[in-house]
Amino acid sequence: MAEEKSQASSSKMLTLKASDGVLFEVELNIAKEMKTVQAYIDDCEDIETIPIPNVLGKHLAIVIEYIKKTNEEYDAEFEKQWNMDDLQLLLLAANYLNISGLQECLCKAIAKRIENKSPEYVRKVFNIENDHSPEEEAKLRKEYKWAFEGVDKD
Amino acid sequence: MKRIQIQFFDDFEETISTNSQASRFSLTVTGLINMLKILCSILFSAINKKNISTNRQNLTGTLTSLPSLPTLPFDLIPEILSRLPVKQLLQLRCVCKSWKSLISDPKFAKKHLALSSTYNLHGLDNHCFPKRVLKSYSLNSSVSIAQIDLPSKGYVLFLGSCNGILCLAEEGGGDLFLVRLWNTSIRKFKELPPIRKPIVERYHLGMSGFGHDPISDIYKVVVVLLAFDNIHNTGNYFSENEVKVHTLGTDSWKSVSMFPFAGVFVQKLGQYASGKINWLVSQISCKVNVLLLLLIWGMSLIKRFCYLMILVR
Repeated sequence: MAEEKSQASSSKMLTLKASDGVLFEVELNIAKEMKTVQAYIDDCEDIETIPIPNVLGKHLAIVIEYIKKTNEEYDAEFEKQWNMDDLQLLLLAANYLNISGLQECLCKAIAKRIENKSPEYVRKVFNIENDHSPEEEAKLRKEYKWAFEGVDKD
Repeated sequence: MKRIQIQFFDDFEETISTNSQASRFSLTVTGLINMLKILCSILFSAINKKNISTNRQNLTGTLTSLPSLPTLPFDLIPEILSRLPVKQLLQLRCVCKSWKSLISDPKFAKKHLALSSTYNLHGLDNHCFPKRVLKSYSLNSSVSIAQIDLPSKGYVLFLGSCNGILCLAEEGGGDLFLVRLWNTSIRKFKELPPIRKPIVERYHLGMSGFGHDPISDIYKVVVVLLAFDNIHNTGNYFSENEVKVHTLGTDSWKSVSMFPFAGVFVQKLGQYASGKINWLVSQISCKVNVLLLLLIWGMSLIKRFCYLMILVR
C-alpha cells in the first residue's frame, strides 16, 4: 500500500543492477546524470531495472552518492578518501556510465597523485610495461636531461 | 521487509534482510553498510591479488570481467596527462612507446594548452657579457625558475609572445635581423628565415607582433621596419615603413601594405587578442591646435588592415 503511494509521488524511481547483482533504487533525475543510463531509458521507455554490467555495487554506490552531493566543497574532499586503485576503478565506472563531472574530478585527482613522480612510479600505477629498448630510453632521457631533475622520490 | 540477493559464486549465496521501515527497497544506511562489508571482504582479497583460483573457476559471467588491477583504456590517459606540468610530460615519454607518441602529438599539445593556467614572466638580459641570457620567473616568486644562455652574439629583442612561445630577434650584422622562436616550456628554439633591411643604415625594427591565427591554425610574425626620419629625429616616429609578415612553415617574409600614415608608436610590442595583433599609436597633427588622435591599429593576421579611431581631446 505504502509502495503504491510512494510510486505515485512526483519523482519516478529506477532500479540499477550492478555487476555483482547489488540493486540500487534511484530517482530518475539522478539516473539521468549517467548518460549511458539515459540512453538506455531513451531506447526502452518502460524499463524499471537497468543492468550495469561493468560496475561493481561498491563503486556504483560511490558514484550515486557523488551525483547526489556534488559541489565544489564535496568534490575537493571526495578524492581524498580513495586509494589509487579505487580512483582508477571509479574512473572506469564514470567513463562507462558517461558522467562527465565525475570523470573530470577523478582525472584531476589521479593527475594530482602522480604529479612530479618518476616514469618508473607512473608505470607501476597504471600497470604499464616499458617497451622501449635501453638505448631508446637513454636517448629520450638525454634529449631533455634538465627535465629529469628535481623529481619526487617514489 | 525486503531481501537482497547477492550472488558471488555459484556455490556461495548470501541473502541479507533489510530491516527497513520503508516498505519499498531503499538504500538505507544499515543496508548499505551490510552490503559493503560483504563486498569489501571479497573485493579486498581480489584487489590484493590473493589466489582464489578454485572459487574463480566457479565465478558467474559478470565477475570474470572484473579486473583485479585496474587497467585504464588508452583514451582516458590524455585526460589525465593533460593536467600534468610539461616538465614531467617530457620525462613520461619514457614510460612506453604509445605514451611517447601521445605526448609528442600536436593534438595533445593543443589539449594541454587549453587546460593550462600557468603564466610565467620572461626577461632578457643583454648585459651579461659575452652572453645574452633569457630568465624565466613564475608569477608568485621573484626567484628565477630557469635561466638559458641564448646562442646570440648581437643585442636581442622581444618581437612578441603567444602560448608560451617567445619570438626573439637580434642584429645579425650587415643587413640582416636573425629571428628565432623559443618554446619556454620545452626549452627548444626554432630558427626562422632572417629579415633583410631594405637599406642598411636607415631602417630599424619598430613595431612587431607574434600570434596564432585561429582560422588557418598557424603562427605568424609581423614586423614593421621603420626608416629613421631626419626631420623629426625621434626613434619611434614612422612615416616610411615596410611591413613584413612571416608564416610559420614557409621560408620567407612577405611584404604587405604599409601603415597608411605617419605617427608615433606608443607601444612597440603588439598585443595579441582574438586572432588580431593590436598596436597603440598616436598621430600628432602639425597644426597649431594639436589634436591627439589615439588610433588602435588592428592588423588581422590574414593581412588586412582595419582600425578603430578614438578621438581624445
